[in-house]
This record gives sequence, structure tokens and C-alpha cells, in this order.
Amino acid sequence: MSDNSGNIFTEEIGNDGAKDTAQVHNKDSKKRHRNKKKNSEDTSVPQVPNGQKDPEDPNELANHPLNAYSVNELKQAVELYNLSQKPAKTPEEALKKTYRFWNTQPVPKMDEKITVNEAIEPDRNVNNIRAKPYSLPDGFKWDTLNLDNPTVLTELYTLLNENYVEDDDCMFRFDYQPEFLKWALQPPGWREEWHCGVRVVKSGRLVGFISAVPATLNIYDKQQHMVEINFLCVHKKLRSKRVAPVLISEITRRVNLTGIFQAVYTAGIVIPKPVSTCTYWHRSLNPKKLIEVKFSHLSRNMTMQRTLKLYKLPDAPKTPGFRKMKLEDVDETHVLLNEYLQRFDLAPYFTKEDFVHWFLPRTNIIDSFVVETDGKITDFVSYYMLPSSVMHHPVHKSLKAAYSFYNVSGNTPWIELMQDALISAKQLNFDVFNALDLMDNSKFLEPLKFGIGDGKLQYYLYNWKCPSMSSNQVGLVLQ
Amino acid sequence: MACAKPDDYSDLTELGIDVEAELDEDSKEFNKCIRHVQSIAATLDNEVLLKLYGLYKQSIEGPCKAPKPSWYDLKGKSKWESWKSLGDMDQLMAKRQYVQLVLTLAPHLPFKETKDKSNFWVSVSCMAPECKPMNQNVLDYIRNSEVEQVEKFLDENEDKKNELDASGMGLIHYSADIGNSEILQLLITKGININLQDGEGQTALHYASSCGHLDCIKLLLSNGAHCDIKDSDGLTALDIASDESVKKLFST
Repeated sequence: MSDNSGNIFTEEIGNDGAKDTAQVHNKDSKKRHRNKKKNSEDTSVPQVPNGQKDPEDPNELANHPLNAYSVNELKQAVELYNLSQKPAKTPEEALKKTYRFWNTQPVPKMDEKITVNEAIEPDRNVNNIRAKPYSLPDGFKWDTLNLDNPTVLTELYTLLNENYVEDDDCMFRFDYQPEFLKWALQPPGWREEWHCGVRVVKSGRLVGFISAVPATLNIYDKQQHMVEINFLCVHKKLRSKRVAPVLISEITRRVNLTGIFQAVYTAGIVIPKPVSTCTYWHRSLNPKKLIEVKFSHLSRNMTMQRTLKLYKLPDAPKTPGFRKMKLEDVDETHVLLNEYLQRFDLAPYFTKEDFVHWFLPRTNIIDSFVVETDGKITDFVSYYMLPSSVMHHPVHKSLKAAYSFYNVSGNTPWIELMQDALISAKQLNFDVFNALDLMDNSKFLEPLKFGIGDGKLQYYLYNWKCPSMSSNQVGLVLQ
Repeated sequence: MACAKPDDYSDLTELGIDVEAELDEDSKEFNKCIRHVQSIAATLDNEVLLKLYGLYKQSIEGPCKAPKPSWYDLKGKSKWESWKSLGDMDQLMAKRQYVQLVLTLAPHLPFKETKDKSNFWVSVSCMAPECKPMNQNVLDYIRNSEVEQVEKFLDENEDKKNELDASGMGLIHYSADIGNSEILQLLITKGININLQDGEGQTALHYASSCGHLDCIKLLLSNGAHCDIKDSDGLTALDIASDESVKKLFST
């Protein structure tokens, strides 16, 4: 549309501020060394070798007689107290970091070259597992949450809703609905003690949570029973109280007590050591609203008029036989999905009971569709529904997002199958359809006008080492 | 002489926990200023750096209790003096003065930093932004709702207000397309041709109607926009209305 070169409206102004940002963010390198000598329990006293002065000690800086006054020196003094030590953004950056917590855990080191596919630590005798819960800071206590109690479920909903996304300045926050949480946390084989909460002793207020649910995963050529860890959340008022590491240790202990020693989890940050890195892609269904809430942006050379046209979808799915999955379809579809998932190097194995739980449609939680041709089910798509709260917008309060779950293209080509999924989501009034670039998804993302997102998702295994894999080898989606 | 280091919370940041989230506003601003000073330190003169050093030490450690450096350590002495000169200024006051001083050096320092999502355990992924162009023109001002900049452009380029650009669109089309009624009002006030047709014969009303911008449609209609103008496909603004709520506006 408007090509801005040679445009009559060009009134150019320089972009100031570019210079200011040119030399930022080299500051982490020194801080990383600072923790090198510390062990995980040590939180405050730096270890300075005998007779050697700590070059980062502010008193040393100020008093050393031969210390030349320099910009670097000031920078060092400034860095020392800077709380803004950021987690690593990329594996390259993470390589150079020291990890006080993760170094104590059975996870591969960042720079480890792995050629095996096996547990890091052998299974332990359950009788040797610590029987008592880990200690919490004073004033806090453990509480196993009974999610069948509506009051407790609401408490968990509120905690996650207000604190799950760490960033206070963020524009969007996950808004996991209570019934969604029950679906995610009570699959076949769930255990109440794995819904692990932390409360303030005095007030009883719920301030921390972590969960585990059972899962069977195929990792390359091995099948392993393990748990999926999810919903690690600490109330923002006590983020400096070291509750998160205790939550992780405690859920590990509770899982170990049942004879399970492996876990899988996903996170936005890079920690030791990702099995795979996936990227979110987004397909606009309601582009006008997405632009208004700044979820997406009007391209510089596009008009709104053209954007609306670009993302317009047919009113109804086009593939003959595309319909919602029913209980009667379960047997056939279950086999179809498990067979498909065997192609991937990290993928769940679903029992029929699992399949019914995860995929039978539930309003506002999960939707599944099949293509039936001549009485035979040939294709399958599913997506779960997770709205986000829109912060700071006068009109829009919520963004309806569908997340691609598991899909199998048999007879129907990927693009046609997923276009029908998009249409069904549009019919249900979703604003955006999200998908990771895992499994065969990259076959339809670009053709169906998905745009790349600014979020990455790292996949992790706990107490397991295996070679890392590209995103299209991953066949696992968590909530 | 190793002194106890303040806790850097690195065990929490590596779990994706934003330790700063619980800091008060003053401390957040202070930390941002510290980061900014690191990035511009090389451009600052010694006098400013010394002042920053003094305020910084006062903010973090309180009044200077360190012994005066030896006479031959000129630089150490200057720094000590800068710190000492603050006497027993309150630590919060020192923080605020530090922030003030940084703001005089960089008045545009944004306090709403856009945070990198990869810092957090979980975050909601959005569409990745395009690279911001180095040079902004009036179309960017319209998109970004920079009313004053648009007004300045109109005042300086009286002859261009009804011009069509290379893609056949005028300012009023872009404003109606993006749905910015404030800017549309400005254009109308400045006497733009409200029925200007683009390269495909569409008026601003066509754009507002097809995009469903109700405020803009009302504004255009009440300022004498014609509903009966047809585009090159022979369609009126009503013909391409995005939905029923738009059609209603035309019938009243």
C-alpha cells in the first residue's frame, strides 16, 4: 500500500536516543563470576581467596591508593548493587551464567554434550526419600489444595490470575478459568498432594502454588513414566522470600515419594538445559481488536482495510465431514493420535482414559474436531481455550485465545485441515489462534497467515539427559 | 577486607522471578537510572560522575564513614569528598536526587521500560513487533495518534493536505482507516476535502465503514460526507459496511 520511499508525506526527523542505547547491556558478564565460588546454600558472604582483594568490594575501590579513577570503576561500583541481574535470554548467554539453584538439581549443564538418553540419577528407594516437607520461611505453611472445593478453587484462580505472569507492566495476563484449572490439574491418575499450596499462617491467604500431574512420555526410543510440572506461582509480595526454590524441592519430594523421578516442564526463560526451543505463532481472527489492544500492530505498509481483508475467513469449515468430536469417535481417534505421535522424539503416550479427559470437548476449555469420510475418521484437530486479561485498556478487558493442542492430518492436507480449525475458532468468537512451531505445524503456519510471536517456549526434562532436538521433533503440548 | 555483599537474588531471577516487582517506585526509578548511567557513563564529564558517585554511595550505604584517602590518591579523595559532602542526607533523598540528576542528563529516560519476555517464567506471547523505522513521517504520526505532530505538518504543508501519495491515498483516508477520530476531527477543522477519493474512488467514509470505526463514521456524516459516492467497483460506503452496527448509522 503506502511505500514510504518517495512518499509525498515524508517529513523526516532523526530518531534520537539511538546513540544512548548503543553500548548498553554488557553488564552481566562480571556479575556472573561473582557467584562462581558460592554453593547453593550460601546467600550472602562472598568467598574471596586468602590474601586476595576482591576487586568488586566497594571499599577496595574507594580506598585502594593506586586505584585510578575511571569510568569502569564507577561502573563496577554501580553494578555491585544492581539488582537487575537478568536471567539468560538465549542458550549462548546462559552458557556463561552460574546457576545457584539449578546446579544443585539433576539437570544437564548448559555446555554438556549429551549422546545418551537416560536418567541422570538412578531411582531411589522410596524409604530413603525425605519424609518431612521442606521448611518454609517463618510465617508460611504448606497446604494441599482440594480443588473440588469451590472456595479453594477460587483462591487458586485468584492467585494465578493476579500473580502468574511476573511482569507488572505487562499488557496481557493469562486468565486461567477455574474449570480450566480443574481440567489441567485433574487428569487420570492425579493426586491431591501434588496440588501443593503455600499459605500465610496468620491470615490463611494462599500465596504460592506448584503442581504435578502424571504423564507417560516417549523420549526418543524410551518410554518413561513421569510428571508434568506446571503453574509455579509465588505471590508478588514475597518474591524475595525464597519460596519458589522450596516449592520446586517440595513438589520433587512429593513426586519422588510415589516412585517417580522424572519430570517435564516448559518455561519462557533459558535455564539448564532446554531439550528444545519452540516459538509461538499467532493467527489473527479479529485483527481490529488485536491491533486496538496492541497485541499486534498494523504493518507499516498495510491499511486496516487491507488487513481485515487479508485475515478474513470463510463463514463455515469447508472440508466435507469436518465436525466436532463425539464420545463415539474416541476409539478410532485415540489410535489415530497415538500412531501419529510415534513420529516425534518427545511426545506423550495417551491411554484411552487420558484421551477422553484431554480431548472430549468441554465448553470454554477444550474443543476437538474430526474429519469423517465414509464412516472412517481420517483427521483430527484440537485446541484449548485460554483467555488473557487485557491490562490498561478502556474498552477491551479480555482477549479470547485458542491454543493449538494436538492435530493429525491423514486425508486432509494440513493447510485445509487447519484452515477449518481457524474457521471453527472464529465461529466461537476467538480473537486469535496460537500455535507453537512444533510437530508438523510449520507446514501450515505461514501459508495460513500466522505471524511469528515474541514469545519462546523452552522444553525441559528433570533428571533426564538426552540430545536436544529441533522444534519439529517435539510432539508435546502442555497447558 | 571482604564486606558482606547485598543479596543479588540471583537464585530467584534464574527462576524467572522479578525481584524488582516488590520494590517501591523510588527504588525502581533509581535502578533504572543506574542502568542508564552505565550506558552513558563514557559520555559524562568527571564533575557529573563524581556527583553521581556521591549520591549513589549515600543512597546505598548512607552517610560516609570511610576514612579519608591518602593525600596522594587524588581521585579517591575526590570521590570521598563528593560522598562526604552529602553529610547525613537521608538515603531516600539521595536516591531521589540521583534520579533527578540522571533526568537532567537524559530527560527522555523512559520509566516504563519494555521488559524482555524471556526474563519471565511465563508470559503471554504477542505478535512480534516490526522494526521501528528510523525516520518517521506524517503517516506514522497519524498511526501513533501524535496529534500535535500532525497539526504541525498541516500548518507547514498547507498544499499537501488533499494530496494523494504513491499508493493513491490521502491523509484523510489513512486517518479514517486507522479509526482515529481525534485526528480526523483535526483534519476536518483544517479544512481538508472530506469527500476526497483515493486512487480506487474510495472516500474516508468507505474506509471507516469497511473497518467498522463507528466514531469516525458519525464524525464524517455530521460533517457533510456524502454517502452516495461510489468507488471504482461501483460500491458505496454502505455497501462495504463491516457489520450491522455500521449499517445502522447510515440509516439514521
